[in-house]
Parts: sequence; structure tokens; C-alpha cells
Amino acid sequence: MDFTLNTEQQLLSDSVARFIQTEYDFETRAKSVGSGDQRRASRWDTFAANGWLAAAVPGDLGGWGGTAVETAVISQQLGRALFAGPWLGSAVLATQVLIASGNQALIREWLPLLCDGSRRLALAYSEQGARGIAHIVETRATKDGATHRISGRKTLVLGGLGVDAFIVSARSDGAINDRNGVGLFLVAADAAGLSMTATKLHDGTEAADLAFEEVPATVISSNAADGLDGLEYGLSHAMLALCAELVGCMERSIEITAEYLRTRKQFGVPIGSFQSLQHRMADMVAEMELARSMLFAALASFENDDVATHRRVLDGAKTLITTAARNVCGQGIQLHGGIGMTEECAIGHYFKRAVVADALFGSSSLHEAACAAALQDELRAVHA
Amino acid sequence: MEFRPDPELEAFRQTVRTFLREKLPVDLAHLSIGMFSPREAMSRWQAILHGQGWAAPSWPVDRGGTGWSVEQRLIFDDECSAAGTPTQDTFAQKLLGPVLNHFATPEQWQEHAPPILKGERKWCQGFSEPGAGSDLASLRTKAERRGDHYVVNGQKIWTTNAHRADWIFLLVRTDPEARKQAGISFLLVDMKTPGITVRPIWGIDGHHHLNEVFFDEVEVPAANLIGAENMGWSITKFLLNNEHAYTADLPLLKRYRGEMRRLAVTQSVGGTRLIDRPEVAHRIALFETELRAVEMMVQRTAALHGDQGHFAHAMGSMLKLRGTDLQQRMSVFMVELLGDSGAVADTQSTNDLAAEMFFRRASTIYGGSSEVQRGIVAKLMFGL
Repeated sequence: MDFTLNTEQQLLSDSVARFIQTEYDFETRAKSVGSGDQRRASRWDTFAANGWLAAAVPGDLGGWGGTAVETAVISQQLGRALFAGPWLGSAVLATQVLIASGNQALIREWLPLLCDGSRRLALAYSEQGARGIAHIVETRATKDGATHRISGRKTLVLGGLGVDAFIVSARSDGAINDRNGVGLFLVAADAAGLSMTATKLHDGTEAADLAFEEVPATVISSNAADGLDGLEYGLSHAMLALCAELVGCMERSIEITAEYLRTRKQFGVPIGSFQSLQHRMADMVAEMELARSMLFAALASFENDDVATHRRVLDGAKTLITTAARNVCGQGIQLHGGIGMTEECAIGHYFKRAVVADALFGSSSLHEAACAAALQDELRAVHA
Repeated sequence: MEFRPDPELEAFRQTVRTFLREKLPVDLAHLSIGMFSPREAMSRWQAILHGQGWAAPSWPVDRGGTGWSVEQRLIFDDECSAAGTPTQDTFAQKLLGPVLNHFATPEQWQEHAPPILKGERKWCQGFSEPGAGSDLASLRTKAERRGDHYVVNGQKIWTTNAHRADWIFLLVRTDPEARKQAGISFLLVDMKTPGITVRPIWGIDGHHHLNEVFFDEVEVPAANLIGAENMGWSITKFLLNNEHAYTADLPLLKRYRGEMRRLAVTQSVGGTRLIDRPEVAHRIALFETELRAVEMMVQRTAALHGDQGHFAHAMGSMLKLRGTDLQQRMSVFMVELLGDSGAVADTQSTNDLAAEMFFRRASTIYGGSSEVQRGIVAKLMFGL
């Protein structure tokens, strides 16, 4: 193992940092979030030109041949700046689900267009009753000649506004929480019967709710009932990205707060001279470093272990890191005092991102329960 | 950054495992869950390690050590812990050893190092005093030079295993006029010297590990002074600044994990095994997640290089904060898992989890209390 960035990764990290420094400071972000049009402000052309959209795409499919580590490097930098564009939803989640979907023809048709930024996809998988759990699917797909038709509703489609098409999970067979019978489908954004409602999340990012009524769709998993593995693989990759983003969020929250403690004076001295505040900062940075360590453990497991093992580690990572992010960023507000409660102060926005992150891809408590269930299975198998 | 396991380290792990399988006597295995192995067991085990050439895992080869990297030593500790070996003499190996190797004259080294390597001489550490705890440099035990001897008068306290040790390494004041850090010296003292009295301190765990040690006109040969007179404080800083990757006591945490799992499948309530109760599985799963993060944090700290000394020091303090907090929470939960038996005092038991739990209240006090660690982190990371 090597915990330092290699030359390519350092260049990648530096290029994202430079973009943030020159084109995406906190004021720019605030304006773009306020204007309601983040797609223009998100500078997708810059993302494509720098190769970020292709960083974790396999070399034989026209990408840079990186892995989730490269995704994490980019995500961590974007997390520091609270980047509000469709990086996570489109460049990570939709792209990785497409790569893992199995339909080689569609992969080869779409990937180059996703990597050069000329087309964008979003993944519609969660539902009101699913809470981010991939195999809970009520939306139905029924065969209609050579194509399929989809009916149902999808929630929290990240980066869903302004895309060219959606990847949609839908059930062609089985009951609502059956692990079999879920397929992945491609649906054009302008398809008949598809209606979209824009939603704005607490952190200012945009998502979409989708309603499908007999919408024509092309199957992109190997068949209409065999999409769950690809979906879960892409979700794992995106969860790692989100965890890395939160590590970046915590880093920046702590830096902002430390700077405030050095400059804000009360009782005639910088408030950072008070031991109670120093100790709180120490606890915050210790929690962040523990969270960063958990991210590394999850990246290691994703690379080295079988699916069941890495999913279990990732469940733990999602829980530990989103919990840490809410603690650290929340304490950042506390250490700012009243000013931390204001819209114009950055620290509160980091906390909002941490809260939204917990709701994405299944909340902490759901992932905790998954960890506990996996432990029960393991111990029951050994000590029957 | 890459997370593939290192094949050489994996091979090393197999070597250690094979050695333990072949050479660890059955009657020495799993004698205690905590840090205190019986003296005889320690001596026998140390002799076996010496026969293998592994007498001092943390010492360089030219000093009779193994010359192992920090990564190798962590693997060695991990495997020893899993196999349930007795502990080595930590005070001699990790605290005094580096001091001997770095500051002792050839004659001093010849007298003191070989008995440590062979397991023939046990050491204890005489640092703390009634008036010098966290503020160690205010110590008052004094040593006056009279001819070719020092005469020591004063008192040490919290001296772990003084009643089982052959020798003690002492911090003494040799210049009462100097600024408090400047007048301290580092002295080696035979515990059989006339004038030394050891008084037991019974702990809240019901056991006798700690002692008061009184020095009344104790004559110590001047040849037992390590380094120059009055340079004891810089030796102390050297000795305390050595082992950043070890502050969490990872092997102990892993033994706790094993014990929790054992209790979860052997204890039951109302005919239901504990592992089948969701609240139990949930808590253990959370502990295991946190442990995985701590383990990766240890590996990150081990991988830090000399030029990252400040960060390594801060990581050592953060690891101590998080690791000892986890020790306390896990040991408390183990006692909870015992049900009614958890309330019963049974200090004769060889697996007295309650005693272990009570003893762990000391983890956040010894070796620099958590409050001291927070101060270090705030200073090193933020300049506060």
C-alpha cells in the first residue's frame, strides 16, 4: 500500500484544485446555486478538457484507466469547494453503472460521448419506498415487442436536470424487495410519458423526481431482469466518491474554523487561545483522520476483496464517514458562534452537504443495519 | 496512492504465523486478555524469541534486534496477539531499549542489553511522582553526587510492575538550581539496592499492578548514569517520541473484538443467542467498523517518514485519543454482554473482563492523558 499520491494522481489533484481556485470560489458557487442553473456554472467543458470525466474509465473503453482511487482524488478536492454540479450523479454514478451494466454495444456508443462531455446521463434508481436501497424497486418494466415500457416513480435523481438520457432501474419480475428481477434501462430525456420535477436539496444542489407512464426504454443490462449487480457496483463506486467528498468537506471545515479561531477576538484575545475550543478542534481533526482512514480501508477493500466483503466495509464506511462529517461540520458551526448560523458564512453549507450526503445511497442507520446483518450471517455460519 | 497488499509483507506474516504455530508452547498461550502476562511466562517466551533471533523486534540488527520495519512489527504484534502469546517486557523493549542503543556507553550496553534480549532481567519505569504527573518536569526525587556514587532520595508513584522488576530506570533531579527541565538526569538502578522500598497500590480493578517506590539514601554507582549529567530531559523526549503507530494498542483492540464475538455466540438470553439479538449485533458491528478505521490509521501512521515528524507526532496523539476511547467503550460493552454475571466481582478468574474494563480507565490517563494529547494535537495541527 502507498498512501501518498503518485505523480499522475498529484497532477490530477492539483488540476482540480486549480479549477476551484480560479473558477469556483465560495462566492461563485453561491451565485451559481442561487441562479438555479448549475449546469452552465459547473463548467462541464473544463471537466472534459482536463480528463476528469474519463479518469476512472477503463483504458480499453477510451478512458484513462484509473480506478475508484482516481475518482476519490477528484471528489475530495471538489468536496473542499462544495462543488454543486453533476460530478457525483453523472460523471461517477451514471458512468460507472453504465460500465458495469454489461451491454457492450451501448457502452461503446455512449462512453466516448460521456467522457468528452458532449452527452450526460443520470441514474434514476431510488424510490420513495426504497430509501436508496438498490434492490427495492417498485417501478415496472414490461416487454413491448422489441422494446420495453416503464411505469413508476423515481426520486432523488442526482444531476438529473438537463441530461440527454436516464439509466433507470425497473422490475420485470418479482416482488418489491426481491433481489432478482431488476433490470437497467436507457430512457431518452424527451421520451413520451416521462415527466420531470426539479428538486433542490438543502446544500443547493439539484436533483429530479421522475414519473414514468408507459415510457419506451431500451434494456442495457444483459437482460431485463439482470441489472442489480451492475447497479450495485456503480453505487459502490459512487459511495466511495461521496465518502472522499466528505473527507474534503471536513478538511475545509476544519481549516475555515481554525482560521476563525485565530482571528476572532473575545475578552481581548483570539478565541483559539481558550483550551475548551482547542480541545474541540483536536477532537474534530482526530475524527476526520479516522474518517479518512476508513475511506482508505474502503478503497483497499474495493480493490482487493470479494463483493460481499467490500460491500460490508463500504456499509461501515458510509456510516462512519457521514456520521463524522455531520459531527465535524456541526461543531464547525458551534465554534463560529452566531455567525456560523448565517447564510453568508461558508461553514453552515458544509454541514448542509453532510446532512444531504447521509440521505444519499441509503442513510447511516440502514448501512449500520446491513453491517449488523452481515456480522450475524458470518457468526451464525461459523457457530451453527 | 494504491491499496494492493504488499506480497513481501504477506510472506512475512506467513513466516511469523508458522513460527508461532511451531514454537509457542500451549501452556503459554492465551493466559490473559490484558497487558499483564505472568513474569515466568514472559521470561520463557522471551527466551524462545531469543532463540529465533527475534528477541527485540524494535531494535536495529547491530544491537541484537530484528531490524524490522514498523509495518513488519505491526504484523508481528498482530499475529502474536491472535496466537495469544505472553507479552514482551514493554518497558525494556520499547522505552529503555532505544535509550540504551542511542545513549549508552559500550560498557553500559554490554551490562544491560543482553539480559533484556535473553529475558533474564525485567525493568520498570520510574518517572511519575506525587507532584509530577502530566507536568513530569516538576519531579523532585534528587540524586546527589558523592564520589563515584549518586545518592538518591525521594519517591516515585504509579510504577507499574515495580514489585516484579529487577531494575528501574529513573528520572532524578541532579541540579536543583537549574530551570526545571535542565536539571534532570537518567539513572539505572538495581531494585535490590538497600534503601528502596516498594509499596503496593491496589487498583480499582482489584489487582496489584501499580506501586509507590521510595528511595532513602540509595547509593547508585555513577557508572549507571545514561548520557551526561542533566541531559535526562532530552533523553526522555527521545524515548517518548518513538512509537506513534503504537499508541492505540491495536492488538488489544483486536483481542476485544475476538472476545465480543465469542460472547455473542456463547451467551444467550431467553434461549436466544446474543448474536441473534439486533441490538447486540448492531453494537458489535459498529465497534468492528471503528476498529477497521483505527487499524488503517495505524498503517497510515506507520508509513509516515522522518520528514513528516510533526504530523506523525500529531497522528500518534490522535490515535491514542481514538484508540483508548475505543478500548474503554469496547471493554464496557463486553461487561454488558455478560448479563447478571457482569455485576459479580470475581478477581480470581483468569478471564476477568470486569477487571480488564476497570483497568482500562487508566488508558486515557497513562502515557499522556487524553487532555494532554488534545493540547498536543491543537498545537501541532493548528498552532493554537
